[in-house]
Amino acid sequence: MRPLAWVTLLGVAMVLVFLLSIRLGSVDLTTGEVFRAIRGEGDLNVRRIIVDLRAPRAVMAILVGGGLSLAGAVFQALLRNPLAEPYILGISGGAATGAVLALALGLTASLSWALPAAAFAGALLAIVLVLRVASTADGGVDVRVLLLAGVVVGAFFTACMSFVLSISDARTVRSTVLWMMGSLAGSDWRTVLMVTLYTLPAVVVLVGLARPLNLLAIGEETAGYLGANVERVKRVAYVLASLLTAAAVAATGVIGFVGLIVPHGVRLLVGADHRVLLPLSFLAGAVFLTLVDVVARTVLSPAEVPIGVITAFVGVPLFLLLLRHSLGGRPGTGS
Amino acid sequence: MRWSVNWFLVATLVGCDAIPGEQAPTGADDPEASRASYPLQLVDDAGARHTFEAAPGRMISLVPSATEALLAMALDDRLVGRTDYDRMPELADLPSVGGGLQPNLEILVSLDLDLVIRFAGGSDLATAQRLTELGIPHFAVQPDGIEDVLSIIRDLGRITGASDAAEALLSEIQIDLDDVARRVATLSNPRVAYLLGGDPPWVAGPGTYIDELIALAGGRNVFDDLGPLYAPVSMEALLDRDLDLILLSNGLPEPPPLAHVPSAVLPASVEIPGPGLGQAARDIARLIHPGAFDERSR
Repeated sequence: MRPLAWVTLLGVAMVLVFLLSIRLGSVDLTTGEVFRAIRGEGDLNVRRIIVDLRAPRAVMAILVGGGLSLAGAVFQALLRNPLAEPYILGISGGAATGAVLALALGLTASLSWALPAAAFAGALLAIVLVLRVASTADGGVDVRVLLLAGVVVGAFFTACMSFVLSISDARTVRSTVLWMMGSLAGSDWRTVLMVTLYTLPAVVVLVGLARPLNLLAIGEETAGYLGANVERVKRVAYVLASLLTAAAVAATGVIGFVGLIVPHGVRLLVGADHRVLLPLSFLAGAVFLTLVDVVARTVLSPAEVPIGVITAFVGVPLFLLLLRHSLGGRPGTGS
Repeated sequence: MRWSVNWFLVATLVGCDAIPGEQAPTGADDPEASRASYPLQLVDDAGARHTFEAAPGRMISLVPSATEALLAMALDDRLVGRTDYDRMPELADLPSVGGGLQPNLEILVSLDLDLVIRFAGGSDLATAQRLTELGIPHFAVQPDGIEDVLSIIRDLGRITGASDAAEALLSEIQIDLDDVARRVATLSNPRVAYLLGGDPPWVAGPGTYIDELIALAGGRNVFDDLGPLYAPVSMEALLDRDLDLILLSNGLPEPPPLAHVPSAVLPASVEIPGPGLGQAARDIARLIHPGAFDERSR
């Protein structure tokens, strides 16, 4: 298929899963009721369910799924390593530690924005720490060191979290563990707005960096000869992809797998041209997480399955199938 | 004579807002009390101030102990939903909102509620915030100690306009608590720990109703120096505390952690700090001081 056809297909799919996501839920509503609620008519409680609960949640799934997936695609290009994703680089560990500290210190009881703010601060701390370590004397960034430092910093943050949890009371442990499993349940329009403010500009700039990222994928030296400002591209792309991750973790907790599985899946389908890969990764991630969330909140209704469980249960078999398939048909499609 | 002692105790336990000037708990059908109660101003356990203009008609309780209290006050008809943990037959036909922490908001909205009783504390801040945003009134309770449980019963009674039922329930509980306290008053205090399970085992510390029930039942909670309400302790600490009796949470796998210390399993009902508090005190006291309950005459 041509790239444009893929974009159209996934764009339509995104609209469809959005509609599906506000159509399905724990409370049975008819399609007519849903449309009346969208137009602002009908029963007040139905309107609340559609407008205040399902719609922001669907938008959040699109933003977070797309953001994490795009961030993964960028990290893989940047580090020329198929394992690279937000979670391996210590960013989500930093964000989670910030959030856990906020919960344990009881800051979240009085300040509703304390948790996202703390998560964000933790992510920034991880980013700065890892970038500092990986900076070379001439102002460049060593990607091998970046990856290693990310893994180590991530492990350190995990230890910090375990320590905080071990000295916390049962209530804090419970709320923290729930938060760490990741969920879109807390999505309201205010958090959606916050995540949008971080996600949209980052997505636009990162997609705009597709050409230099293509060059980087060939090799840093070649990219330099071909006119790319290698170090600046690396730095800007790294910071923006990290911000995408931080915003997502701050809003929804830790949702793994998306940044790894989706970009690789897209790469297997359309190849490694970042001009196509990046926008498609965002769209595919959005569609994937929205669908996963529909499953997560309907399959055991009224209870919700942690969304990370479904991303793994749905994503991993799908991904393995794609891997197997691509081995047969098209060898050599790594980044 | 006994009555006045009981009411004094209730008043001390529950705090200053307890029934000033009321002489007997059987002042039940006094119209003055029910007329004076609305609009009613109450501060909940999360520190939020609430004004109730009338008794809420459609309610749900996300807190099992509060649910039990409402049922004990015969307010089943007000409840229009339940959690997965409420397994009482009276509620079996009601729709469930899932767990009491992070309940399903869609179903909560669809129930068209006048009031949600929810957990206070940091476990589930998101729910409180979302309920406020969705315009659903919510009242937070935190049933940690005996006093908390009793004041929750009193608050629920006032909110629902069933103060008389609440006071009757409170006096029943108090009779039980007093009776237990009287029976064990002169006996020695064995060293007791309450284990919730886990490895290393979690125990109940100070501030918990279990700790207070153990004290009331004539025992001494050896972990009354614990920092948080409930926390895990090492096996070494357990050995070191020189226990006389281990109380085990219902449903724990055998065998008990220390073979040389006698242990007893508490009935499941003890684990919900609600209207069954008096019976729970009796159950615990029976395990600590079996002799005190032998002769019927006392």
